[in-house]
Parts: sequence; C-alpha cells; structure tokens
Amino acid sequence: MTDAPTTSDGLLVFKPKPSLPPPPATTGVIGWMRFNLFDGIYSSVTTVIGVLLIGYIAMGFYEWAFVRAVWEASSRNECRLSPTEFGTCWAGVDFWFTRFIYGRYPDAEVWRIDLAALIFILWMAPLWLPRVTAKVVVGLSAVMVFPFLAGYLFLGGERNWFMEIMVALSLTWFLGTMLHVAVCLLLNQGLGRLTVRLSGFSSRDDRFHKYPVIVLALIAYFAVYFLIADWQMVEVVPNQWGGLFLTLVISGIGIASALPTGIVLALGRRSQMPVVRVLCVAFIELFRSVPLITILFMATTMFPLFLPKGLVFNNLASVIVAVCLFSAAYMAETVRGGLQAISKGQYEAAEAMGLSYWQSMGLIVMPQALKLMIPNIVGSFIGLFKDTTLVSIIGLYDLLGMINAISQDPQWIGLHHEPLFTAAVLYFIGCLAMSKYSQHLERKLGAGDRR
Amino acid sequence: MSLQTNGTPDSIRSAVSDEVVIALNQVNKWYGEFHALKDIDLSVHKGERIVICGPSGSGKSTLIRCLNRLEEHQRGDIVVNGVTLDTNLKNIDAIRSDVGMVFQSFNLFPHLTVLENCTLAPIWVKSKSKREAEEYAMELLTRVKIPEQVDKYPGQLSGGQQQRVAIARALVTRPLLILADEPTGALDTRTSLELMVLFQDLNRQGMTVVVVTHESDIARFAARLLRFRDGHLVEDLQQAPVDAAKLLAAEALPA
Repeated sequence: MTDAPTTSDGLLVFKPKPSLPPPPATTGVIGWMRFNLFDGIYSSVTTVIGVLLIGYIAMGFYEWAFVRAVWEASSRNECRLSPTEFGTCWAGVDFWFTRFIYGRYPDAEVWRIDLAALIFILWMAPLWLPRVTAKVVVGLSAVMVFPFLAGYLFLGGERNWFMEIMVALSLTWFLGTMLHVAVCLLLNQGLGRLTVRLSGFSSRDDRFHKYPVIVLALIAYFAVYFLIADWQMVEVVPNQWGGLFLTLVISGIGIASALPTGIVLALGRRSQMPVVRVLCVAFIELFRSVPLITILFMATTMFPLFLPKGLVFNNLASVIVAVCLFSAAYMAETVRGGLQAISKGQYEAAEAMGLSYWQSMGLIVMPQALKLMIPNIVGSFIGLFKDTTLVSIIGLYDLLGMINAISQDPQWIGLHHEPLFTAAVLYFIGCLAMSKYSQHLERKLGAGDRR
Repeated sequence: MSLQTNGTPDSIRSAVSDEVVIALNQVNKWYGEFHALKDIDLSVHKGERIVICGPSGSGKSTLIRCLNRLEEHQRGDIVVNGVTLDTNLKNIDAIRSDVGMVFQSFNLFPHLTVLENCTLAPIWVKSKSKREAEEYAMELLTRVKIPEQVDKYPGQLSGGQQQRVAIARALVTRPLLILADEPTGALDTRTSLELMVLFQDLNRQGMTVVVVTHESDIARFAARLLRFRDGHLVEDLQQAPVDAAKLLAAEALPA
C-alpha cells in the first residue's frame, strides 16, 4: 500500500480494479465442452464412444429414411424394384396418410373433423393470450361444453332433444367465447363487464350486474337454438371412424372425464361417510387391478349381454365408457396423492374460517393439490393417450389399426416399418405437446408462490 | 384466586364487561382412550384478555379447538355467544364466523395473495361484495401494520408478518373473540413481543383475546391467566399485566 492514491489532504482514495474478462477456456463453447464432455480421461473416452454411437445410428437412420427412400410408387413391389434396392417405401405412407388420420370416414365429410379441430384450437387459443380474462371459464368450457358440438359434427344425423339442447348451448358458448376474446383484445375488458356498461347497470350495486349478462346469454342461446333447429348433416356411423381421429376421440374423452371423476372418487375415498368410502375404494381397486384390455373385452363382449333387449350400445360407446372408468380409477389415486400433500393446517384454517366442505375443497385444497399433481396428471394423460392403441385389438381401427390395415392392402402388402415409424412420430408429437404444456403450466402457476 | 390490579396502567387494563362470550359447563373430551379435558368450567367475558398456559398435552390447545368445533367434545356444554355447540351444523357455521382463529404455523393459504387470504371468508361465507371485503381487509391489514405487502404471497413474508396477516384474516369476519393457538411458537423473542403489543392493542379496542401458550414469558401480558395440567383447569388467576409496548421500548431488543 505504499503508492496508494491519496487526495491532496492525505486521505486514502478507493480505486476499483477494472473488470476483466474471465480466463479463456472457462466460458463459451470451449469451456462448456471442457467442463461437460472432456473433464478427465473417463469422461473423454465415454464422450468419444457416445458420439460414435450416435453418429452410427444417425447414419443408419439417414440411409434408411432418405437415401433409399422411394417417394413415388403405386405399389410395394415398385418400391422393391426401385434403383435403390429395397427402397424405403414412403409412397405407401403418402398414399394412405389421409386414412391414418381419418380412418374410413367418408372423404366428402372429412371437413367436419377439420372444422371441429379448428373450433377446438380457437377455443383453447385464448388461454395463451394474456389480455383475455376469465381463462378458467374458457378452458373448462373447451373441455366440458365443446364435446357436444364436436360429437354432433362427427356423428351427424338426427339430434334427439338432449343433443338439440346441448349442441345449441355448445355453439352459443363458442360464439360467446370468440366475442369475449375479441372484446378483450380490442377493448381490454371482458364481455361481461362490457355488457354491464352498455346496459347502463354499472351504476347499480354489484349484485345486479349479473342480470344483463344472463339476459344477453339467454337471448343468444334461444337465437342459436332456433337458427340451427333445421340444420342437419349426413350421418356417419362410428364404425366408419378411425385413424388418429378415433385415437383422439377416445383418449380426449377419457382425458376430459378422468380429472373430474378422479377428483370425486378421491374425495369419496377420503370421505367420513362409510358407504361412500367403501363404494369408492371398491371401484378404484377393482378397475386398477384389472388390465385395460380385459376391461375393453368385457365392455364389448360381456356388457351387451346385461343390457335389456333392443338397447344396442355400439362398440365405440362401450369402449369409451370403459376407458373413462379405467382412467378415472387411476386418476383418483393420483389426486389422492396430491391431497395428502396438503397439510392438515390448511384444512383447519379453511374450516375455522367457516368455509363449507365444498368451498374449502374448491378454493383452498384443490388449487394447491392440483398444482402439485400436474406432472402426475399429465403422466396419466400421456399413458392414456398411448393405451388407446389397445382398442385396435378389439376391432376398432384407431391409428394403430389403420397402420395394420395398410400392410394387408394387396397393393402395399407387408408394408410395416414405414407406417409404424409414422405412427411413432405422430404419437411422439402428441405426447411431447402434452408434456411441454404441463411444464408451461407448472412454470406459470408456480410463479410467486413459494412456501 | 388472587386479584391484583395494583400498579396496572389504565391503558392496558381490559375493558371487561359483564357479557359472557363463552361459557363452559363440565366439559369433557376424550381422544380415543385418552381423557384430554376433565370437567372444565369456565366463563369468558367480553373484552377479556386471557392467556391459557400449561405443559404440552395438558389440554390447553384442545380446549380452544373445541370452542370453534375443530374438535368435538363428548360431554358437557359449550355455549359461544349464546349458541350451544352441538351437532347442529347451522350452529357451527354461526360460531365459526363469530370466532377468529390464529394458528402456530400461521396456515395462510400459500396460493393466494395476502389480500385474497383476507377477503376469502367475507366473500364466500358472509357474501360480501369484493369491493366491500377488500376495503375492510385493507383497514385491518393497516391495523396490523402490513398494508404495503398486500399483493405478495405468504411465502414472501417473514414469520412475524405472516402471523400478522393471519390475525388480520381472523378479524375480517368481525368476530367476537379471537383464539390464538401458540401464536408465537414459530417466532423469535422480539417478533413475539411485537405480536403481544398487537394483541394488547386489539384488546384495548374491545376485542376478546384468548391466547394459548406454553411460554411463561407470554403469560405475563394477560390480565387473566388460566393454567392447565393433565386435562384439569388448575388455576384461574387475575393479574396485573405487563405492557408489551413499554417492554418492547425498554428492552430495545435488537431488530
């Protein structure tokens, strides 16, 4: 400290050292590689082996998928005789691709499936738009209300009184949601608030604010109800459904119903009422200890024997009911696990406050438990999505069923690998999307909420 | 039973009225085979500040948990604000909004903000409008001296602040009395003392406060001291309480 800088009157002056860049080879790509890939002799050797292995597999795949690929052919034989020898016959996949997606759904009616998919996307999209309010209502209705509209689009034909009511409700709700989203994006306030303001009720007490909204909703509902009263589409029987479309229908209904029924069963299992508890435990344990395929066989072969004469349940309906029951039993245990993670103090605080059982469940326990359960819940959903391939065994042509069908088509006989690879890619995309969405949800709900 | 009021400053003497808020008559409670409360007779008047102390397992927590029916007593009568506690669910609901409860581990709802924690009961139990509930909650949060933290989540607050929120939350339903089960159990000495200042302030404004504790330090802040032992109420003592605010200033404990 001999030559430390001082002021004129002899005071020491603090002089910071300049910030230097970090030593080379500790940051950036080189640093990362040194630290992660070549950190010592063993690490280097395994890195080299690993890279060689990945390279070998990638090369093999590249040759199979691209080098030997035959894109245009009218039969499997043509692919075989191609100049590349035993060419990878993507032509067959291309030829059958529409069938993979829609099964045997009539070509002229395929637009109905596309339309339903588009409506679903539009219905869910607002969840990603930050300015939209009442996201919970939008999201729940997409799962609970949309199926009726979709069901009619898929099935067509005449509607009975129940479907008449529900389809109109579903359509009204969809239009209302779209209007709400538009209002949110343009005016930055919800449709409900806007209605209250336009009707001049905003000066009244909060209690009266719901009336103009209810009146508007009823008017819209009856308008839609009478407008679509004569609307009818060609019937497409479920036997013609198939492909990825059928997979999504079965697993979608299974997924949508699993959570609510699972919650009810889990609460029932923890109930103080012995009869409710015993019934729930019996249901859960029964369905969890029987393989899904057995339940599916029972649903399609044995269940009809118990039905009264004349009441015919089609195969698809029995399968969907079976899948729903099965997934509900699994979901119940997932939910119970989440409920156990909530401390007793939370229940007591809610109780001491005077909240009723359902209020404390809905406002306090479930929001916390469900957040903890997201990874497990999505895990079950992914499992369910893949498990629906089992329906191909009982004669429904889901995605896997259609894949098997192509190899029996005389023109493409014996074509297995390429369609199976395609199915794997489609399943992978579906599962990855769910997985990514769950991570997004976890991050979003976890914000600012530490214990 | 001794009654000492000498030397108690008027400011912290409880404004006790003759009105009985809680009356217990021969209350008995068993956990399975364990006899937790034995023939308890007690009456609490409006505006009293009571500390219940005793070793763990002596029945002191059980008693106040019976008062708002978190636990069920098997024999005897408990009358809270004129309503007898029995299996009638309507009575229980009425009592729960008359009795505010504060817990040792705070038990705030971690997924709700401080303000939402405090407006939950008014909105859902008392059917108040959101605006009304928020106004009153803000008033109380100001009274417990944390109005700046209202948009934070409980996990972002310190223990003392969380307990203050819990007290505000217990007060939002405008209860007749507040029950606190070991409210300082998870707090350090200084924070405990600050909390006692708050309880004394509330009491001065007319709130009946019942605090359960096993810390003898806390006991001296009460005007009435109940001692429990093996399920018996062994002592019921009127005493000259120490003014927590003065002590806090005098001790000048490190912040």
